[in-house]
Amino acid sequence: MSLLNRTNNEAALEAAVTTLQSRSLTQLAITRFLRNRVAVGASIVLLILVALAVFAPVFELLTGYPMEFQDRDFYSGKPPNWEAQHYLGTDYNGRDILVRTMFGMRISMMVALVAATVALVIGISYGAISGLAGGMVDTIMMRILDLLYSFPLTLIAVIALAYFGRNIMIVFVIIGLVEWQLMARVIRGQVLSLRNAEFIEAARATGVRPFGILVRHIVPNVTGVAIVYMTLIIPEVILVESFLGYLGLGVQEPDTSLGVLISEGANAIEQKPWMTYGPGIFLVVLLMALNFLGDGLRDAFDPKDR
Amino acid sequence: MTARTTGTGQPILSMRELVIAFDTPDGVVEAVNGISLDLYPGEVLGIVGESGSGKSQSWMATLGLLADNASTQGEVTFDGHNLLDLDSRTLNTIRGQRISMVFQDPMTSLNPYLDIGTQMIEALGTHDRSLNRADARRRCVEMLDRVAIPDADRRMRQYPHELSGGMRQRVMIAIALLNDPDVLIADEPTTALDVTIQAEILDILTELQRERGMAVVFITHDLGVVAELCSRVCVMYAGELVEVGPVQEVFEDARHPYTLSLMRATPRTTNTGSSAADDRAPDAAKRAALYAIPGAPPNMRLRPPGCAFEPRCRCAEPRCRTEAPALEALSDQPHRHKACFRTGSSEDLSRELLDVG
Amino acid sequence: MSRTWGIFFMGYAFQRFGQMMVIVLIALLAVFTTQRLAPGGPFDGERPPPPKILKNLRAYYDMDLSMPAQFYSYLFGMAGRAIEPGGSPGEAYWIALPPEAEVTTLGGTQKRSDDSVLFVRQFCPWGQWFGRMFGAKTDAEGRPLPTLRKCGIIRGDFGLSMVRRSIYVNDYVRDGLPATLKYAVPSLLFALLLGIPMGFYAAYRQNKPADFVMVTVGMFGTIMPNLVMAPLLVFLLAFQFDGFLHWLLVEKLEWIELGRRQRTLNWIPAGKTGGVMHYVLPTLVLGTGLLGRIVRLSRAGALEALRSNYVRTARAKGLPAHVILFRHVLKPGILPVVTYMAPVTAVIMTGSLIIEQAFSLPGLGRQFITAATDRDYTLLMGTTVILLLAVILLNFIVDLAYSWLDPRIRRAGGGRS
Repeated sequence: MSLLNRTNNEAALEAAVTTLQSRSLTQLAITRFLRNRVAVGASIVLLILVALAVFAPVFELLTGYPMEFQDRDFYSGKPPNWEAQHYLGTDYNGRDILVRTMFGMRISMMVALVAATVALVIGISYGAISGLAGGMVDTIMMRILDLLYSFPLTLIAVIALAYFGRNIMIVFVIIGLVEWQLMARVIRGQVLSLRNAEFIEAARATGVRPFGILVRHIVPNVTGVAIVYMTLIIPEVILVESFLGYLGLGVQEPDTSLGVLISEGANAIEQKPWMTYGPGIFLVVLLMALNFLGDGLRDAFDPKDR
Repeated sequence: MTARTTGTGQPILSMRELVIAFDTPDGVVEAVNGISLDLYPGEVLGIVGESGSGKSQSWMATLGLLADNASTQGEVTFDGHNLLDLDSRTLNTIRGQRISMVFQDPMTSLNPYLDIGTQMIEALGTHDRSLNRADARRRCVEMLDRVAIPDADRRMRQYPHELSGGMRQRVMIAIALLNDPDVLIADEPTTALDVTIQAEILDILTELQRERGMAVVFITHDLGVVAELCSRVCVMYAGELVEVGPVQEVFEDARHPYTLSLMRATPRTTNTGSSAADDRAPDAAKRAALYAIPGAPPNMRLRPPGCAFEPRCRCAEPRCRTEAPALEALSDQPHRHKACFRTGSSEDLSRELLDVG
Repeated sequence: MSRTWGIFFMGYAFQRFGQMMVIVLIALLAVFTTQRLAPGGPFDGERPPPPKILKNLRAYYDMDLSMPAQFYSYLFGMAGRAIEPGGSPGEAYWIALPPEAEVTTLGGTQKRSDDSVLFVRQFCPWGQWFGRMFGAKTDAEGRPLPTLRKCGIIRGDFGLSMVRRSIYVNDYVRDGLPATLKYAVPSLLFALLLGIPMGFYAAYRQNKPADFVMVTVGMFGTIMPNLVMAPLLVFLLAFQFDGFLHWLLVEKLEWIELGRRQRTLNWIPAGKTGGVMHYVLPTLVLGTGLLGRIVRLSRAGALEALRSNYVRTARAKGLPAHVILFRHVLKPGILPVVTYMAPVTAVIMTGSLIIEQAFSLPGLGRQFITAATDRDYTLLMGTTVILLLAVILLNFIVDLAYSWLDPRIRRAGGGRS
């Protein structure tokens, strides 16, 4: 009984110390982040965009044009018409561009989130194994990463997508497979520096088992970095997705994404430039917001890195 | 007030009310707070202080080597110019030719992408356009010989990473002395080196100083080195001069509590011969273990209104807290200066310092 | 210096060459395996060929062999693959070119009239053995049956395209590579020649308005996706620029009206009329992203060098600013850019896919995508090999440039960390 109590107390104490530490660190980062006006502005823009994407169906109601609806009066791409509530015009099939852009952004964000998670999982596993194993394993794994660094993995994605169909799940996985390297590198660095950190030494000296160290010390410390770099990976993922969509290898009808919409518009840029405006602007603003947010977060959590 | 010693003629360089401030993201930080100082031809002036006391910055400022976010006030007169607001062209004729500098870290102070020869010859060539390359090269090799680098001709073709730390510092000294400067500023030239190599570098510096008769400013935190090398010493604390005077006298009979504590805080491991600091240290100090100055140097942003050393000083009086003492000549020894209200002798002060602890 | 560097170079090049071969082999194996494992194949189009021809086709392309044998045959060529006669003369066209047709390999153009068996005996000693081992047919005396000559990529023969079966992959590459390089090289030059000075200038005037402008350019370049850049620039330059001129010169000059269409076409690379003009759009689309990165990298590199202790030493020597910049800051400042030149191949390749799609250019990237979507195995393998070689070559050059720039690496003998 008493033994149980004691361990409980110890655990509670340790937890309290950890939260205290992490809270103060996080608080510091938050103050730093809030002082960065560009990053705050970017996160507000991003929130708006996410809201637009989440509530994309609202635009169907608002304009009265469902995403798939082909407006007979606006066939073959008509310019924006406010009276008809085609605020950004229509495409070749008379579908409303605004509604399609919103749904496209939705898919792009979904791909970004899932693919970035795939990248995160792969990157963390690779980086953690490399960092924790150390020695020869680490050297070889890093050498592989170095080689991959300069290889055009997007081309592999092109091959894979062409061969294994264009199912959206496959798109997720393949983009994730392209974008995991940065994460692996960062996580490995973090794990390496933690491995030699004093408080880990201390934990080891007091007899905490390796698994305990991993769960209680390394995982929480790596999480912050992982989140920061995730925000930097997401724009890359969006870019890859729109690239594949542009080449006709991304998501397929009836789904659409920003890249697909832009490629549709680009073919008619001379006569129907409005087909590109909407998706183009939303893509650029989205990428910008994500980039500024990612940079801001990185600076807030790791000011030395600048 | 100006600190001057036995006047060996006109000062070659004089600082007046030099203020250096850095504009950091957290606010403006004053690193040097109005120091005035004269440097005389041929003397070896030691500048002593903790890290962050502004001892390096004040001399970097004379050559315009401060970081971009630094601003300066006051003046540094050399050869009729105020070095602080000299145009870069004129300043470049002084840098490296009239005033040279040797830096603390020889590992990073040489350009790793250029061979030694290039880095030496450019120091000559930029001040003497008429010099041809062969002559310049010959002079560089001679200079390397002079700082006791073996096989100088081959070294000229080597890159910094192929040389040891001591070798690199010798190269740095050679570069600094190539143009036979009037003033050499040595900014902790031995701090980054092994103890055995430190002695060699110091020997070289002393020898060259005697030979060429230039003025040397020796910035260090090693009191033993000062005692051995310098003729006059300035003690700095928190961007201010606290005590100035001939080395022998200052070390034998320190009048500022900070100087005293600093001496007491120095372990006697360096073999400084019959150094004054060794022999005449008070008995209590000999018995006592290493003395640690209580507290930490003040935050330069929140400088206390009174004496900067007051919070850590065991000899402090009430007025030290509100009024800042100026650097003034001692009443009994007018060639020495200190910035302290206390007038007691060295023994009195050190007794007080130790009693409380 | 030159001698030590020469020795270093030789050893290094040798070591690198081995690595290159291993990388190419692994990558080829990966692509090859993916191809054969993926569902579907090059011959199942909407109207599959008759069974007899299909059989011959599969035999010609070694697709009836086991996977290792196929791979071996692709790499080194193989003797003794007999093709059963049959079908009409029209069907025979599927599998054979006229015997006097010329073949372009990377080694040059050759007649393909010589006896393939002889060829295999001379140049591919293992081919017969492997051929027999993997079930190639022989005549009564055990000699391999004559077949179309296949030399394997090791001798620069990428084989016939599997979809357009009268065209050699070598010919595709011969046409596609220059078409890609034609725009890739100018964009890279544009980005380097403009980006490095911009980055250095920004670093030199850090926190001044000029720096802000450069940083903004860098940001814009890195964020702006080239698939948005392409239609945007086409719209602005090709279609609106003339209108802009028109508006500028208020008076309706006759020649403007007359030449308008032509000038619009001049911007478009596929129009082949524009002279130098047609480089502008692809170069800008491909180059802006690179430019942004290079501005950022060279600015960061120059800033680090400017803050370094050795630049402080240089200033203490009394060197004028331009000497410090060119002698002390330039080398360390461009090192990050040099390092970036390794992954730059990948960036350019993906960018090439975009511009070749956007401007309908017949480059390697387009061939690559066509090959991937059409299941043209040989064409895909061929373009992959070329792309890989380009990547490896550039990596190699970057390593050498790096070791040449940084004396510390010269002796150590390793590549970049």
